Amino acid sequence: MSNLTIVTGHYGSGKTEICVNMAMKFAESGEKCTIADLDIVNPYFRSREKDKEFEKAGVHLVANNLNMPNMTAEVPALSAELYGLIDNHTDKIIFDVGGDGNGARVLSRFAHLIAGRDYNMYIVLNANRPFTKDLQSALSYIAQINAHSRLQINGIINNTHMLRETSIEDVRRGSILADEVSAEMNIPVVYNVIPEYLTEEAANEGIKNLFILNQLYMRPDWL
Amino acid sequence: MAKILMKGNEAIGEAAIKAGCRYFFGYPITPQTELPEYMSRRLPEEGGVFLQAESEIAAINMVYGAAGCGVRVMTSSSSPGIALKQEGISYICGAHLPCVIVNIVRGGPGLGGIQPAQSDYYQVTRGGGNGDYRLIVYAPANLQETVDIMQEAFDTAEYYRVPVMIVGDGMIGQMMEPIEFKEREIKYADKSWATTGTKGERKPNIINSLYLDPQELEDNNVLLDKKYKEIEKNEVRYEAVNIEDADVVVVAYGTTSRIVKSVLEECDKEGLKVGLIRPITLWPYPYEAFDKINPDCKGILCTEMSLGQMIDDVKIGANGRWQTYFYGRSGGMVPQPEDIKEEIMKILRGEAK
Repeated sequence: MSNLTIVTGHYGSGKTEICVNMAMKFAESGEKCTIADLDIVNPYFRSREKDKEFEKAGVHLVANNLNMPNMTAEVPALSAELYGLIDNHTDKIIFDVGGDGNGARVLSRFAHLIAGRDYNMYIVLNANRPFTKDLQSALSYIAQINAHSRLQINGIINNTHMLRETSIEDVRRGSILADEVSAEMNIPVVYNVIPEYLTEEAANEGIKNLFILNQLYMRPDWL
Repeated sequence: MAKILMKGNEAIGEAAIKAGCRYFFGYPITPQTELPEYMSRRLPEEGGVFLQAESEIAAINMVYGAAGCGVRVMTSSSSPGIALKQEGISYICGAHLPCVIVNIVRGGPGLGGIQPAQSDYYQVTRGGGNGDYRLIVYAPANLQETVDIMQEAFDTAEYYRVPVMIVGDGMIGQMMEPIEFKEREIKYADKSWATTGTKGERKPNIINSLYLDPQELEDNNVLLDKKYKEIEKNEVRYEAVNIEDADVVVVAYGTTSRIVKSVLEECDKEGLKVGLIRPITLWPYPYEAFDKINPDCKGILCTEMSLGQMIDDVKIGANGRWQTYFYGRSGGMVPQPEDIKEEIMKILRGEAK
C-alpha cells in the first residue's frame, strides 16, 4: 500500500468526510500526515474549512498558496507544495479531490508525476446517489474519472449512507455493489465505511474492511 | 418511491422535471451551478430544452417567451444574477405569465461572496423590478420540503398566472439530504391565453406588458391586485412551534430556522419556553401566525443571515403587541446556535436592547 492516497468520487459521495477522518486517524496514531484539498470545482463543504481542527490535531493542510481565507476563496489555484507531496515517500499523504470527472481533472496536471510512482487511487461509491446506484452507472462513472484524471482508479470505497439515517441495510447494499464493481474491474474493495453506531452490526453481518467514521466533521450538528 | 441522497441543486432540478418542467434557460453562478448542470444532462433525456443563455438578462427573456407559449419553464441563479433578471421578472408579472425562478442566495451587495446568505429578502418580497407586482416566494428549510414545494410550484404558478420564486440560501443548494419524490398528479391549468398559433380559427393571443392608455394600465394593475389578494388568502404557509405559551418567540426561515430548532431543543431541556415561527412563504407573509403568540411573551427575536430585512415584517406581524429584537450575521457568516441562545437569554433576563 502506497503512502499516497487519492480519493475521488461523486459530489456528495462522502470523499471529504472520509479524507478528514482518515487524516485524523493517522494523526491519532502518531503518523505524520498531510491532507491536500484539491477541490477547485466547488467552494462548499471542502476539507480546507477544517483548517483549525487540522492544526489542533497536528495534520498539515495544503489548500492554496495565496494566503487567502481558506473557506471562501473561489480561485482555481493549486499549491506548488503539491509537487513536493508527490515526491514524498514517507509521510501519509491524502489527496482530497473535487467531485465528478470535472473535479478529477485537476489530477491530470500531475498525472505524469503520479503515474511514475506507486499510488492508491480510490473511488468512493454511494449506492444511494442516483448517478452511482448500480453496476452500469458506477462503471461509467469510474471510466469518466479515469479519463479526466489520466490515472487509474485501483481501489473501491463503499460509502453508501443516508447521513444520520444510515442503516446496516444501506451498508450491505453498497457492499454488494462494490463487490460487483470489484469483480468487473478486478480492483479490490479497500473499505466499507460505516458510522460508529453500526460497528457491531456490521461485524455481525461479516462486512469486511470496515472504516469507521468517528465523527462527521463536515456536517454541522444542527444540520 | 425509496429515499435517495441528493444534493440540493440536483434535487431541485429533478423535482422540476417531475413537475412537468421541460424548458430551462439560465447562466451558471456559484452556488447554484449544479442546477443548470443537472438540467443540461436531464432535460434532453425528457425531450426538453436546456439552453445556457449569453447572460441572465437573456435567460429571463427566454423564460418570458417560453412562458408566453404556455410551456412549463424555469430559470435559476444566485443573488447578483437574480438582480440582473429583475426587469424580465417585472415584464412576466405584467403579462400575467407563469414560471418558476430559483434563487440560491449568496452574500451581497454587489458581487459579494459565494457563501450562504438571506440578504435578498427585500428584493424578493418588495419587488426589485418596477411596478405594482408581487411574487409568490417560498423559502424551504430542508431538501424534502424543497422538492415538495418545487413539485407544486409549477401548478401554483399556472393557476394564478404569476411567477413563483423559490429562495434557498447557499446551504440549501449545496447540502446533501435524503429525499423522496412524492407521486403526485400534475394539475395543468387552462392555457387558452397562450400564443400557440391561431390556425386561422381564433383571434391572435397577445403577450404584452405595455399599456399606454392609463385607464387600461390601471385596469391591468387592478386585475393583478385581485390575484394577489386571492394569493394572500390561499397561499400563506408557515410552521409554528410552541408559540402559545412561549416566553420568547424566534422568527427565522430557511437554514437559519434549522439552527434555531437546535437551540429550541436545548432550551426545552432547560425548561425554557421558547417558540418558533418559521415562514415558509415570505410573500404572502404569515402575519396571522403572530396572533397566536402568548400575549405575555417577553419578546420576539428575528434572526436572519442578513443585517435585518425580515425584521420589518416581524414588526408588522407583532403590531406593537410585543417588543421585537434582531440578531443576524451576514456576508456568508452563519449564526451559531450558542449566539442565538445568548440573544434569547438576554430577552429572558430583560437585558435585550
